[in-house]
Amino acid sequence: MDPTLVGTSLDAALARVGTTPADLLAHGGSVLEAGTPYLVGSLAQVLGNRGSDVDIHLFVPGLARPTPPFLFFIGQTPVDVEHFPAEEPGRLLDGLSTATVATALGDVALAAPPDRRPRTWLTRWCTALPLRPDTPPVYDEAAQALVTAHLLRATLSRTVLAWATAELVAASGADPGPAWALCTRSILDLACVGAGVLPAGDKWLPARMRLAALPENLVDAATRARSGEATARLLGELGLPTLDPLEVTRLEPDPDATEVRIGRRRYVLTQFGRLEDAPAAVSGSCRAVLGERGAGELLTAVTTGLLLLATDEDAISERLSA
Amino acid sequence: MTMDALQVAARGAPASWVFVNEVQSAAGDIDAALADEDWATCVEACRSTLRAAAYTRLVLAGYRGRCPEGALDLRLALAGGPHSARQGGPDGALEGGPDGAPDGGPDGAGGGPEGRLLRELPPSWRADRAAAEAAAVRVRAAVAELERELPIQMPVIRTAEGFFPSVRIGADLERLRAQLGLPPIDWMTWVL
Repeated sequence: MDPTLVGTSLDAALARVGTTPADLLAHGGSVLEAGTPYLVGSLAQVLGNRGSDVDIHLFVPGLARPTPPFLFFIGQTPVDVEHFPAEEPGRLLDGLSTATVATALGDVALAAPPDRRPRTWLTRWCTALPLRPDTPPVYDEAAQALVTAHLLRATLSRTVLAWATAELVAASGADPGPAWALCTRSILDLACVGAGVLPAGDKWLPARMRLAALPENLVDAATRARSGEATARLLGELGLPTLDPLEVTRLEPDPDATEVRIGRRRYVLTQFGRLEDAPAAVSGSCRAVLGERGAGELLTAVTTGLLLLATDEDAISERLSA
Repeated sequence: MTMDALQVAARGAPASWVFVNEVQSAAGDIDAALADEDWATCVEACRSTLRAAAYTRLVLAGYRGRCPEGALDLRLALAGGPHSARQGGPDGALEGGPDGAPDGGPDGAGGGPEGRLLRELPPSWRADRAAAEAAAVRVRAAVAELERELPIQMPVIRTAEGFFPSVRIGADLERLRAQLGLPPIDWMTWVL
């Protein structure tokens, strides 16, 4: 990587919060000297504004596990510093399946997405800017390409879930407008990742859309999309295979809800802190379950923590590789 | 003034942490985006603030874990719609729409103003200054209303002035929880 470019990008990123690399290193003192420091997060992703936090990740040889964030301030700007074992980026990368399928949007991983926390780390390490010159990027181009395939998959799974949710809301007779609006957000997110603009905090979606230079007709069509047909058409135009959202999502008992007996009565203790009457067993694809129960009843069970609506990742992989 | 100690320690304490960690920081993003004249990001920050406020309400109503993303978004999507005739009733209970469709769930998120306000936000990428400023005014009012409903008010934590006072209040709450036989707060649980 061209060190001049690193310096320029880093200077520009930190200038957004009114500081400089030298200022940051001086304020951080020994906290930033334990390992190799990188700027990560929105500022490193060419996003951020005057109110942004400065997020620093350090890779420290000999450290056993990631540390809780350490916080200090430069003026009013919070600086979060997290220390990671030096081997952590390689360890996370080694855990990613290399099976992918080529689509017009880019390679998509054929495996369930990593959990949210490691996924955030993987994203941040693809876009990390070294604080000191002559430091290599955390991930080389090949690693970044593999991580991007998994991020595309994660965004696709989220889109499918939002789509299935909107279909269920529509089937229940309630106004599906807000649920379709969430689906639109996911589709635009997907288009951004496909254009190489990786996920960031939710609030950065429009800024990422600008960076990705999404075509205006795509943004218009997505903004207007309020049906399954329109959603399928949009995903087709992005170059993704046809999916039935209700076939690749499932309704199952919420694993965090537990049975409670009080005398002769049986209840389910939900994460919402309520004792609900134990419901009849429900388990299967949304399409199958919808054939047995009303959509309104199913949605009530989801909103009260009795049922969990989730993607069937194996079914999505199967559809993608068909 | 008297308060229900168990309610404050068991529900008020984690709700206050969600408020300072999630609502305060998202609300701060609204002002930063306005100062940057970035109307789209301002509307997005309004949206994030409302989601965080809705999660705070869930915790205050007894929710026991990390934010249930899917269920929260579904509650919010169903709340404040044309069928939710009884929104804001005594326990925030909401009446179902056709086919028994729920409108936000029995308590917590959906019973507050967040679902309705989210519904009123324009697509952020189409927002202009007027839309962003109007959204900011409404969302700030919703945050102030929620803060009044919390049993404990804490300084803005992610500032040089507010950090240590907030941490001190947190330590006091931990002592109260211990006195009442409650476990320490797990910081990794109460996050969006």
